[in-house]
Amino acid sequence: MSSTEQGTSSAAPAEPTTAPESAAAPEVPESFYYVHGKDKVVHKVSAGALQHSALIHGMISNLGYTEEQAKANPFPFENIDGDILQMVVDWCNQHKGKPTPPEDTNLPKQKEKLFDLVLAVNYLEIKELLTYCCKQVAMMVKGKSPEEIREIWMIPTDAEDEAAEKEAKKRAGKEAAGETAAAAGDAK
Amino acid sequence: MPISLLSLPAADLQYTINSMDVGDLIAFSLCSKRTKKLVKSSNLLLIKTTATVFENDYIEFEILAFQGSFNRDIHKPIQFFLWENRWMRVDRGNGTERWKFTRSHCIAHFMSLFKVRMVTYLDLIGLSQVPYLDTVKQIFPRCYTLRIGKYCSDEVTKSAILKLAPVSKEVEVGKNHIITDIPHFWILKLKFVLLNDEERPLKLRLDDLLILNIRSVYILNTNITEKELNMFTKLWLKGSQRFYRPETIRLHTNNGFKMDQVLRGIQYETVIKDHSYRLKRGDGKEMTIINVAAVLGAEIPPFEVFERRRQSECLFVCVSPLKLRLAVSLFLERQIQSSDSTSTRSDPPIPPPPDPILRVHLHQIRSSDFTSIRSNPQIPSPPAPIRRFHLHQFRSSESTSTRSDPAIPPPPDPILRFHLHQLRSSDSTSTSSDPPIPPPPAPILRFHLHQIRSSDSTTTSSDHPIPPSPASILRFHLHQLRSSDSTSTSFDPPIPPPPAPAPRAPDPRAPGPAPRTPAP
Repeated sequence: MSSTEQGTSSAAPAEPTTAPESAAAPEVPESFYYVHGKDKVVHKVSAGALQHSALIHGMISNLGYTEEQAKANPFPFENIDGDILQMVVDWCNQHKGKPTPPEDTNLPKQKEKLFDLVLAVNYLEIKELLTYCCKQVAMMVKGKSPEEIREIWMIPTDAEDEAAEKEAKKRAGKEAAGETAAAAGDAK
Repeated sequence: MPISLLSLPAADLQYTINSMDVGDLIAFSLCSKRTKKLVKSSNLLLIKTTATVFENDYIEFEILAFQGSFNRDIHKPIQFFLWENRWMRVDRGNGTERWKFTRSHCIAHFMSLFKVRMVTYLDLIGLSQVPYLDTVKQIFPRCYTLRIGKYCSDEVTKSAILKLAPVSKEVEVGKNHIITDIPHFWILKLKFVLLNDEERPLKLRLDDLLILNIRSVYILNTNITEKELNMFTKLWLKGSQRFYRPETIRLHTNNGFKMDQVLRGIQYETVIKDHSYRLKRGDGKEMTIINVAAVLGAEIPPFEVFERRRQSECLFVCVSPLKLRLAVSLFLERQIQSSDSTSTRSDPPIPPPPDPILRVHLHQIRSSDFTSIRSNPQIPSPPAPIRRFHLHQFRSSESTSTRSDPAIPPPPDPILRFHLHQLRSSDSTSTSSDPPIPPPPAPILRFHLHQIRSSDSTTTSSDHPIPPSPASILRFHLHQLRSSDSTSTSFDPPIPPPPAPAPRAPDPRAPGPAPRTPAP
């Protein structure tokens, strides 16, 4: 994964994304990269599709993998569930080299998946998809009352917030006391 | 399974909040203090709030706001129906919902959410219990415009003015007769007062006009006499107070005002174009009277408009409000159309209005000067002044030619706004004054003698300017004024009456409009 052999793939990503079907342009072989999530299932993604992700694009630019190296060392995203990563990959492939539409109807409707998707997309730095996801999250509470919103988004009440704050303060105080005690013990 | 929105990264959370519409944001803000803070930091912008107070402790609260990221045109008001000790009902445009919040909680919450300290409009509708006004004041400690409906009882109207007008900037009252019972009403420091009782005329007196401390007054029905207006004008001309606050006073009467009586004994200049009369006093302040009825062809009783330019004082006098609006509309339209057809070709064309308010640059209107006034020097275009008219004024003007058109509803806000210096153009400097006024029966006014000595109303313009008086309120002794009038030279011809009624409003599109010169 951490191998950093210098290859020739630095110029490869941009070309196939713009005009893959154009017959006039000279055929440039599209390079592919591999990613896997928490479930270790490897997904093959074209460099053009991965351009949506600022994080992966930066990694590709910096690492300069050859195709063989990329196949041998898929990018690991251990904090992203396999199905969420699959969604992200699908979205990137769908919107490869296309202008992003104002609305995207292919986003998941399930709330928990949407939330995980927001976190994953935020991590992968896919701006357009993040915009869609945030709008989708906002749509979850459309026309809902405050009580319903509180339930859907798990918003703690003021009392719960205060209790949590108190607890956090207490914990911080205890930790500080423990640290000072340990420091005193070391000094002795 | 629910998701924890607040655990999202800060940027995503903010973006999500900015993607919500106004109604959802308000609901979200009510979830907790944290959510309220988030909404406060969002791009939510308030346009106005309206609180309507009814009998039986029932309040309707309306919020008109929009998201900064959204198109402004798509906003719609959100209404809250609030009873004391009951949960509120909300209408966001999709039927009413019930939210578990009390009135006292939510009003304070909304004020804090939009970072405002006053409601825009506080409407009192049909209230009859005076003590309830204390509750109203407690809930809405301040408001921008207080509107007291005509169905409120007399006691409530009076108490509401006394209690709530001092915490307001503008006041609209639906009952005229209450005003006379409130001794300090005219010295309230307000920006605007509208007395919209068209049924009963207001007994407005000269003293009221002299002590007036309200910047803009609009009275839809008053029975002030021409004599008092004449007196007021004379006193204003003789006065030198720089602190007279009113900028606009519009007075409507059902009977019409006789211009020759209003202007009797006063030296003035006639501006032919808009049938206005310009008065100038020693310290340079100016007042303009506009005879819109003459513009209309005098088919309605004449009304006059006084204005004092530059130093921001003016007075409007006119007939019934509907007719006034028609008159003003026609007048404005005619100005614009004639400006298109006149000989001044160098003026740039009027740009199309960008929004419902039509803006016309004054120098364009000025170009419509009548060509007969050859002696007038060319007036340079002012740098900035813009004339603004609401479109409905223009719309209404279209209907003036057919008398059977339905009445135009009065607009909610004062609509006549124009810079006075636009009237400066196209003057014909006919100066006249009337024979002296007979002495009035009782001394009403007081003034300092040195003010009168300095200039008589009928003296010529070579008089020295009046030195400024230290007093901030106009007070004149009437007998002094009387003597000054009686000793004045009376060889001047009488004030010309307003131009004779024409059978029809002249066609503004007619090329080369013939100038109407006033009678000598």
